[in-house]
Amino acid sequence: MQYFIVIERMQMFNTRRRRSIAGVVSVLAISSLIGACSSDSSSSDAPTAAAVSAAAESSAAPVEESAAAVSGEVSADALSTAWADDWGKVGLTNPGLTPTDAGIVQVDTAQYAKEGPYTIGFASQGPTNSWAAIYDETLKAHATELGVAIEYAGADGKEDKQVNDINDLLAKDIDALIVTPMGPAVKGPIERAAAQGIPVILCTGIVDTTSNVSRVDRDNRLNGALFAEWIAQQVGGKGKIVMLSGIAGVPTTETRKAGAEEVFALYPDIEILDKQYTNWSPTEGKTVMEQLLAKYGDEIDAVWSDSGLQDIGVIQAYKEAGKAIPPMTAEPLNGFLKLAKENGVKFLAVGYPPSHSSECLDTAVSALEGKPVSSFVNVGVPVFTDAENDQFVKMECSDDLWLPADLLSKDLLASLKLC
Amino acid sequence: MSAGIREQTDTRSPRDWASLTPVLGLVAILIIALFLAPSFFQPANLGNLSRQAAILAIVAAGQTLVLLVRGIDLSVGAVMTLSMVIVARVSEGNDDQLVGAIGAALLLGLIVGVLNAVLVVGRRVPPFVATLATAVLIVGFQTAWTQGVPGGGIPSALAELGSSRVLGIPAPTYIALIVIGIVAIILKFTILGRWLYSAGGNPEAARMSGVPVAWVTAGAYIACSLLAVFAGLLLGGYAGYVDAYLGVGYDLDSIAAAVIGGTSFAGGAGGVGRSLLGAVVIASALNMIVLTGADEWLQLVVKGAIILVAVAVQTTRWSRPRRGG
Repeated sequence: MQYFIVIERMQMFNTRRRRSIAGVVSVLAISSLIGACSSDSSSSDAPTAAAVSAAAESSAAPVEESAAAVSGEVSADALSTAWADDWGKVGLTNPGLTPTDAGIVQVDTAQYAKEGPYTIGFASQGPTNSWAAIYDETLKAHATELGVAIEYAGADGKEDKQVNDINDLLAKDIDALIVTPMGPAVKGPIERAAAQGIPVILCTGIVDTTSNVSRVDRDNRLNGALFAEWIAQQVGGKGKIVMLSGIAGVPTTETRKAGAEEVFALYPDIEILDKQYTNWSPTEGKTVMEQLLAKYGDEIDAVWSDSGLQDIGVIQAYKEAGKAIPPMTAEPLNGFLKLAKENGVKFLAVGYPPSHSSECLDTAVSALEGKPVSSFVNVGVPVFTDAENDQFVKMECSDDLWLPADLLSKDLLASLKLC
Repeated sequence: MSAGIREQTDTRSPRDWASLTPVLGLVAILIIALFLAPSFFQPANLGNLSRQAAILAIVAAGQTLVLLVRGIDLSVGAVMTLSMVIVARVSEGNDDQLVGAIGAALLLGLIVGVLNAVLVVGRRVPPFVATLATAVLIVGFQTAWTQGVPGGGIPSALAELGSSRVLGIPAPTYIALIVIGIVAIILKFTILGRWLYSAGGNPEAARMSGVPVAWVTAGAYIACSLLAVFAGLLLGGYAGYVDAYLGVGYDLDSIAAAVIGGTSFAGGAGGVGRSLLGAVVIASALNMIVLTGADEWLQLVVKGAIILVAVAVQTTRWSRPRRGG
């Protein structure tokens, strides 16, 4: 309601010139007020969860060896484990892809070791969607458990704001810095932090720098490839499919798509009828699918999709067209899981749970304790099909809940009206 | 598109060739579609297309009213989204609370419309700045209120309305035709319509001849916001999901539809029937590109090109007859 006060203030300006000044001032004031309320007009580019990593995440790009690395020895890391294990979780075998050589090393963090209690800076996206809201709250809740103080700065999804945020955090005497990068421009402040001897953890996203101690993320190439191999098995290695991606040009989107195309290239009898972007919007997903149905009718044997968001629209489009719903790939978003259960949809879901932000905090704390950390921590995610949906879906909870949500407290879920 | 909707042509240049451009554009798109995307003409696709155009046309009708009084409204997209979030949160997905929830959403539309009107008419803030500020304000309010989590649910009655079909044609198409018909009749046959055109065409002269220019202008902004609420509810019903980014893009698309239809940025010339045609042109072009399987970038390029051509044609038009009056 403060903004109305601003408008009231304008009453004191009477001459026309003063009025126009008042107009401009009030607009600026309104904008900055809104900024304080963590608005995000630019989040139109980042309508989903996965867009948190929209910043610059690309697992295909090699992670350069960390400057802080002292041991060149490649460890049996979580990424290799994921590449070895995730296929088998749903009875698939790797069709012959090799994990990206990320040059993952164990980083000696002895130079950062210090006594607690710790204060850790967290430069995050800010609660611009349900995924990001849970992401922030999980990390804060975990910090309370660990007795770590968090200095938080939400960037409203904006790269330029995050540059300032990090600089502000550095002025606050933090022991470590966790950054969810909003774009390449945060490279400078991250390197400044590293130069000050502060260990930096990149959490969901990548920046072209060698100065971070670790990066905690999910290999999206693996996600895309898992989706594609499952689709290939569903159609028996021969059939016609469509591919629905998120936001054109965003690394999460393009990395998943590229991983899928690598797999589909191994199946000459699979014809990709169409590739479309849906901006991770259920509404656009429905519109696009309706058009594809009008064009291809019953030809489509399966739908490769990089997120559960557009799948919500896909299922609705099929239902309204009165056609049998084909197998599709998804993320465990509750709204999708509910629809899939109600309509008996066959699916493969690969998770991207926002609660992995707690792993970023664990990594930062390890660094401060002087324990070696991996330069890349692959987030372990649930991989499951419709057969196991009942273990994940929460019919009584909000469509916006990302699952599994076991790590989240009931109070938190209730306060966000998620459950 | 429909009988009963007449074009509100500028009486000063009735035979202007530019008023034909949206029709020519549509014909061009149909011819291209015939070769590149024959599935465009399948009944199922034409039904989808009519719904896409219908929702945009409702927003564009409101936008047209504002353009007629020399304004612009950049807050319609934000209003669409927030009205859907309000309905979802207030009703919690229950049909029996739907009426109250729609009432709350309309109240939001009223508040935003009044706020825009106060800024533009009362405080003489340029419409572009005023409505942009309102849009940012609404998005900020929504984020602060929902913490990024829209929550609630779409009542099934609304979902039914947004996605059902009657005689193969989507329900929103009928609704849009009725709404636009009503607005067109008001513009054409009532004193309100005449006031609107005269207030936009020549505010000074209108004021001297007793037209309540300030009230008429304010009314245009309020009507525009209310129509945006209406479109937001239909789109939300169609989506069947509380999409926090529902109305994104509709502010610029609605302006584009109005401009392509031939409504002038300079006020006083244009009409909702034309904007309906503009909406059909935009929706057809985008629909056709998706069907051709072209890349995402081409979709943006085509949309930009259509608007550029429309504006170019229009600017050459209003530089001539405007002064002579």
